[in-house]
This record gives sequence, C-alpha cells and structure tokens, in this order.
Amino acid sequence: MRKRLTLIPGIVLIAVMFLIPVGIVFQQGLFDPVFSLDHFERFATRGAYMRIFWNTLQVSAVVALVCLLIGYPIAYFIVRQPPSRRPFLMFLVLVPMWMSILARTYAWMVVLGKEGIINQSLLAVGLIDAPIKMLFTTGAVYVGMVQIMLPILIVTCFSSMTEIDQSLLRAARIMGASPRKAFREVFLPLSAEGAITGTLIVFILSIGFFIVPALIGGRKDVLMANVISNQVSQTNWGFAAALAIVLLVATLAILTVVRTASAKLVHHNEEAH
Amino acid sequence: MQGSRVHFENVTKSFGATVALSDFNLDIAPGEFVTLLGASGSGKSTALNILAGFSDATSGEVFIDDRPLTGVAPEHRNVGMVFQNFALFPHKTVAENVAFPLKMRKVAQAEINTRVKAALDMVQLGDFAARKPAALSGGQRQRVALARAVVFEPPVLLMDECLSALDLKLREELQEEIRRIHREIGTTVLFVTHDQTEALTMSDRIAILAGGEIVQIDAPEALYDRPRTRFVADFIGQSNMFDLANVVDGKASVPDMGIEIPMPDANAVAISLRPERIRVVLGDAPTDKTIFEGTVQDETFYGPVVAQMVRLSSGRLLEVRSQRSGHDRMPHTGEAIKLAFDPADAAPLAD
Repeated sequence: MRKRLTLIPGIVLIAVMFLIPVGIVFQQGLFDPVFSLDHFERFATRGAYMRIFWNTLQVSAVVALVCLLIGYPIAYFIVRQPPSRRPFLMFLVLVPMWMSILARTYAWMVVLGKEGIINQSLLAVGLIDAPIKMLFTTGAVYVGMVQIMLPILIVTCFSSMTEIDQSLLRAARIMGASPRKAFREVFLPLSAEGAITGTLIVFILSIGFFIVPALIGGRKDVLMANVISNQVSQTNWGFAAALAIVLLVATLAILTVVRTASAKLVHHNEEAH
Repeated sequence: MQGSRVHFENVTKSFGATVALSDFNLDIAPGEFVTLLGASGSGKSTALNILAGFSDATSGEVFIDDRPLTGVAPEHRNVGMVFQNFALFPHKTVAENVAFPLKMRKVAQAEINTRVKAALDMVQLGDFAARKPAALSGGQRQRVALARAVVFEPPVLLMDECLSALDLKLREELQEEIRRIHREIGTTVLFVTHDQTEALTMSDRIAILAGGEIVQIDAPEALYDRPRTRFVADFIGQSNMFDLANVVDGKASVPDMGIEIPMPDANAVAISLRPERIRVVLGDAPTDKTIFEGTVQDETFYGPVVAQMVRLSSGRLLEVRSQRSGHDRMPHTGEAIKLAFDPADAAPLAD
C-alpha cells in the first residue's frame, strides 16, 4: 500500500502536465460544441492541408535520415578515441545545444543571406558573379533543422556505442574478421538499436518544428506546426486542435511501425529457445 | 591437429615511461601448455596481447613456427583466444557464435554445421545451440567461448584469465575440461592467470612474471620444490625462508635455527623450506635429518592436515604442516618440540 501511495505525486504530475492538456486538445478538436468531425473533414478535403501534412512527414524523415548519416559516423569516431579524449569531443558536440533555437536560426540568416558570409566569400574569391539564393529555400530549412537535431542523434548513438564491449571487436578480429567485417558483424548490429532510437527521436522532434521553417524557409516550406500556430493566432482553436490530433496519431502510427520492424532486426537481448 | 612452436625473442613493450615487458624471451614447444603466472601489472597480459596482435612490441619479435608476426593483423595469425569476460556476441546464438571463425574463413555451410555441432558436443552444450548467450550461465558461456576458440583448430590457443570470473567449483570443472580438450586437440596453449593453483594443476611449464620479466620458468614440480628466489618461493605456495651465514666448503649455518646444514650451492644466501617438508619429531630423533627446536605458538586444524606456528629461540616464527596419520599425540600450543627436515628439501635461494 505504501508503495502505491508514493506513486500518487507522479500520477498527479503526469495528469496535470500531460493527460489533461492532451484531453483538452481532443475535446477542442472533436466537440464544437457537440461532437462533430467537421474539422477533420476540412483537413482531409482541402488539398493544401494534406500537402502540408505529407510535406511535414517527408521533411522530418529526410532530416532524421540525414542526421543519422552524419551523426552515426561522428559518434563512431568519438567512441574510437581514447576515453580521456571523449568528454572534450562530446562537449564540442553539445555546445550548440546550449544556445536557443531562435538564436541559432537567426545565425543561419547571417550565414546564408544575400549579404551573408557564404555569398560574400564566394563573390570575393570570384567563384560567382551574383549572390546565390540560399535563404528562404527548402534547402535552408534542411540545413537549419539538421544543425539543431544533430547533437541529439550523436548523443543517443554515442551512449549506445559506449556500452558495446570493446573485447567483442577484438574477439571478432582474432577469429578472422577484417576490421570492416568486425564492424559489420558485431559493431553495427549492436549499435543499431541506439541509432534507430536516435533517428526516431529526431523524426518526432522535427514533426513539431516551426521556428526554422518560419524564419529561414520559403513560402512553400510551411510545416504543420506553422499552420497550427496560424490557426491559434486566428483563434480557430478547434481546427488547430484537430490538426494537432492528426499529427499525434500519425506520429504514433509511424512509431509503432518502425519499432515493430526494428524489433525484428535487433533482438539480441531476447532469450531465444 | 598439430600445435605450433611459439617464440618470443627479446620482446620489449613500453607505454611512455612505463616498461610493461622488458627483454622477454620465451620458447614454447609445439603442443606445450605454458602458463604465464604473475600479479596484475607483471606484463603477462601484455605478452598475450602482443602475440594476439592487439598491440605491437616496442622492439623484438614474436614467431609462430618461424613466421615473424610483426605487421601481421590479428585476423591473419590463425590464433584462437578465450577472453576473461567470455566476449560472446550477444546478438548471435550459441551456434552462430561458434560458427563465426569458420564463416570468416569461408568454410562451406554444410561443413560449418558439422564442425559447430562437434565443437558444442565437445563442451557438452549440444542442446544449447539455438540459445542466446544471455540465456546461459557463466560456466556455459565460458564453454561456448572455448568451443568458439578451438572450432577452427588453431595451432595456438591463448587464454586470458579466462576462469577468474567463475566461482571455485566451476573453475575446477573447467580446468579439468580445458586439460582434456588440450590433450584431445594437441594445440599449443599459452594460458595467463594470477591464480597459482590453476597454474600448478594445468601447465606443462609455468613462467613466473614480475616487473615485465620472467623470474623463473620451470615445470610445476620443479618450480614448487626448487624456487630459485625469495619472490618465487613466496609467490608459489607457503614457504619458510631463512637467511644463511658462512656459506663455505659446501656448508652453511642457519642462525635462526642454530644449526649447520650441507649447502652445495656457494651462491645461496637463504633457504626455502616448505611447511610440509618439516616433521615434528615424536619419540627418538632420526639420525639422517637435521634437528632443531622451538615452541608451539599456535595451531590451525584443517581436517587431514594440522598447521602449527612454531617460535624458534631466535624469535622467528615458522610454519609446520603435518598429516594426521597414526595415533601419536601431536604437541599442542605452549609445548616445546623438536623439528626435523632433510637438508635436500631446503631449496637454496640466490637472493
């Protein structure tokens, strides 16, 4: 009984901070004031919203995969360093996370803008005659989001990689595996779970992004969060809630699919018989 | 299968200012079981890692059958190894773990199956092929690691403190099993341990390491009966050591005992006497033994053996171990006794 009593503060906290707000979102989206699916119908039938929805999923997926492709090798590189050097390298990875996303996004404006560092340098060297349009493009959104998300993926991959027993790689080598084979047969499968988790976290966080596309994206680069923010500012609470619900359900569905698929891929802790 | 000859020639390894191995020489005959015995930091694991190819010697060369190994990657050395922490691949089944070295050597699948089964049967784990390592006990894991290390019939097998993670009973079982497998497959074994009992029971020869050097290398009996230094006498088993004085003309005196013994070794500075080589004299004193006196200070009962701490007139304590046979009454604490030993059992120590 006492054990259960100590759970109460936690349950209350989760209820107040999490369940009640989500409940309110569902209530706002589904009741107006009586039960109706009008908001969802509006979402499904207006092509623009569906396009933005798919675009959001696609941008998030691309950002997550690009982070994986860049972040996994970086994490691997850091893990291969002598343990005394690792903390400093991880410190370098984490430094950008201490700055606000807003500040980092504005910084990209300075870098990518018409008068920005890149254009100025290229002009000075004479590689280009006129500034290249980089700011307010889809490419700028990808660059900005990947830069913000990368440390998260590196940290997730790194922590799962440090748990891999180094003697396993030695064992693979002495049994005849080349360094490449040892990586493929031992390191890759054992680090896959962390890599998949990191990619999923980046994907989920990307789905909710709105500062980056709003500040450095073009007019076409609107994501769901930007639409929701617009609807809220126009006090269309019901429609904003409905869009949030769509995003939440889609995220959960994708999570379930990826988790099930990766569980089949990575199942080394399971006790087979 | 035939084991290979392993030869360390003047191998030195230093990490910065620390010397882990200094001028290390060791010649292991084909099929021989040699143990490197030493405390941690004595250089035994360094020697093993250099042979395995995990680290390079600072100078010197290692050979397997006259083939110099410098620059040869671990995967091309054809050496089997059992690791201290088993190092089984957690994401692979027992059978996949054992199949790994064969797969890396591109052996045909049908032959892999046959050989994996034979290797698992050899360590009595045939029924566990489909399990993951996490579903095995410590002893079973070490058996899998052993099967995996020998399945490709390596001419040299390395074992790095591979039993130290197991409890005593399992350790004894596996010692027996490793000896049996060594007899069956005839591979050359280099075994590393800090456990002297393990070294004594398993090895053809034991090399005692300290400070990156071999202090003494000998068969277990020779090492136990004839330690050449105080360090070895102390490291292997229990020993009573006494300084010698006046080592001249094949004789020397032992001041602590107040006696003189024959001493053919003119360089000896002390002797080592194993506790079980000293006899408590009951009744008449034997004439062919050296006799000295003391007082029983303390005794410990071990069942078949009784250990007595005896205080000599010089104040030195000495340990005597006696088999409890016959019906003679053993002297107890506080009693004065006579002790005897055969001078041939006193091993001369050079330092």
